Amino acid sequence: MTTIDFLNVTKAFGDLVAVHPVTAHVPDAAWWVIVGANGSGKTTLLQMTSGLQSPSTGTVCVGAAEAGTPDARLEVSYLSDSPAFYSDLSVAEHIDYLAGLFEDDAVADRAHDIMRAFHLHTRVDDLPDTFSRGMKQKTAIALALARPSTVLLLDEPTRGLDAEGAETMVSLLRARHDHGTTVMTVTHEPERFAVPNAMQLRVHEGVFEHPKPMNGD
Amino acid sequence: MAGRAARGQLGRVAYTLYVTAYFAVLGFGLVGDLAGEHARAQTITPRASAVAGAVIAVIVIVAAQVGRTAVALRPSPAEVQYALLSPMSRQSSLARATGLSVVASMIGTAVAALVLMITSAPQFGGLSVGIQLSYVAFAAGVGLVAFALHLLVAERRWRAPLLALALLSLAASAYDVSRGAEVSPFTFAVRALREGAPALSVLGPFALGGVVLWLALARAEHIPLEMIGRGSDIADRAGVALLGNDLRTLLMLQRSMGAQPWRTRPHVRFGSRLARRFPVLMRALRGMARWRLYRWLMFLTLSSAIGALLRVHPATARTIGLASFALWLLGLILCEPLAQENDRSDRLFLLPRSRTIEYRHVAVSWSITFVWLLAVSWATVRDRTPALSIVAVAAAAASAATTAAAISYRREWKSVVKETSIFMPDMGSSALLISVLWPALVAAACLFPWASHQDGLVIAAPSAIVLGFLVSWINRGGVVKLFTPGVTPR
Repeated sequence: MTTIDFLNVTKAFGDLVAVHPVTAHVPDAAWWVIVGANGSGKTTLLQMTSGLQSPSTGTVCVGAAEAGTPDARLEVSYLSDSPAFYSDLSVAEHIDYLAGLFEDDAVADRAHDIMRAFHLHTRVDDLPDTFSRGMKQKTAIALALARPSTVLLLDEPTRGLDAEGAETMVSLLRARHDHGTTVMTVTHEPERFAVPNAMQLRVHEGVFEHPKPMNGD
Repeated sequence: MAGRAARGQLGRVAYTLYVTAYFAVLGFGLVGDLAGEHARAQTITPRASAVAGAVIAVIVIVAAQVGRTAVALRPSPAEVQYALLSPMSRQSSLARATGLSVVASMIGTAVAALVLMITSAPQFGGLSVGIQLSYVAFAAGVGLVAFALHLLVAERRWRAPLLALALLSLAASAYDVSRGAEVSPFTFAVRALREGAPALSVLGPFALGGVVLWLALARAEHIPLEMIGRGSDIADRAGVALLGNDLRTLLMLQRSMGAQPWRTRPHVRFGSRLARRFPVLMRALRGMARWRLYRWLMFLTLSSAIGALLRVHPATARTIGLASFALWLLGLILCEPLAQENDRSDRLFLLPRSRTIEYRHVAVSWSITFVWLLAVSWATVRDRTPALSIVAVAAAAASAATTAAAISYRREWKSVVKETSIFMPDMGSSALLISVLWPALVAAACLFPWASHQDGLVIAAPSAIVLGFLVSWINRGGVVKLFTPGVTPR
């Protein structure tokens, strides 16, 4: 059971207020889609949820723990909008490394399964730096979804993906969501994420509107 | 805003002073050591050495000032590519920050090479002062001529033979000097210099250096930026790395020199079971298994050079300084996995036990580096150096390399860190701790029993301490502010 709570959260960069006060409650196993123009504060909110950025005021809680603390990190998996890979490790070695750090072979099994779903299982011995943008994104998704988590924070997950890849990604997300994982995603393609009970959070120049239900199928 | 701008200017001035002081003290320390030895041997007067040291210091100060006033002097391949791809002429690009940065790097390279050659000259026991200075000047001159031709020709196909010629000349000079012979293939050039005034021998290379700098500026438009931008040429990267007026630049360029490209297929494959049981150690070894041949060659050449330096020359401040620098470079190559971890906060940070994992990385990097450095030192000086000192020096060098790797964030991410305070306390505090420990480690390296009785360290050790803490003080704006909740440095 992992909820996310924003309590009067703001973020300012010098004189620029990137996120105006936000107070919201994301229930357990929710599916939230954040939409808005470039530079409107979507990624900033997501990074504050992950703990990668600290709020200027207010607090973000993941479950009972404040965002960024070890307990919160245990619950969260974050997909950056610009995935980073180790330049000297192959995909398979990335997977081994991740599984080793989590001391859980199931992480590796999941990652390989996702790579297979993306039809990239034959490329796991290659260096990610040699991949195209879309292949890198698929690899990053595999690593993000493979690690144990109850909250998925995804920053433009369909970026660079082909149509089939995007469909596969959404179906993988839905599978995780069906098992109780909370999903928060930033996207410019909200229609792809219109699942039943999905909520849309619209933001304009740092001001977040109240979440509204999306029309899922 | 005004206050922020003023602080920025203050930081700029402080940094300039730091760079200036660093090189000045380093130059004076090394030259002072040289002067002390010769004064005891009554072959040169302290006054002459002081004059030589002053000249070096002036050159370095000028170079530092020119560099710092031009631009931040941190050319990265991405920046250079940006300059090349930007919708403006090459000349306009070069007039902007990136171009100036590259030009200034080239200037710094020439100066750094000159200072390095002079201060690292081998022992000239038994030779007259004129011969000594002549050899130094000759070596410096050969290097500078090669560099000037390198700039002027600016063509890849010419560069290799020119550099080979320069290296061959330097090697021949060193061989002649080591034999104490006054007759050599270079007799004519040496004698011409020897018969001139010693002051001329010293000033000659500087005059030549000035010509090179002028040529570098005049021909700036034709500097092969593509080579630097693509990072495909070690000579280019080494040239920029030699600049040395910005520690982080040096770290980054040193990293990029050895890090790209990696082999797609590793030399050795390690099994998944082992990799998952010892993830950090095996991650480091898997990275090494992808080193390309040239990286291995660079690594082994550097190791051999260190071994030869320790074996052939007595433990003076110069020898220790050079060996430490080379050991540090060597260690940094080995610590690449640790450095990569710190490049992006969303790698380790988002893991629940990030600090533990980071410490494991530090331990693994240190251990691998230590073992190798110990092997090199042991093989070369075990018969005349106490075992404890060898272990201590290897440990200090491994520590220095590890800390350097830990603080060498990639620049673009360093910049993001400054703007968004993206690093979290438990990761950032480790980096801060390491950057504070850095000067103490350097100072400790200077004070080990093996070296502490040598002249010159009286100057070098306090310098290392003072300058190291100055580095920490300057860096605090980029690191400490990260941990202030609710405050976002811009």
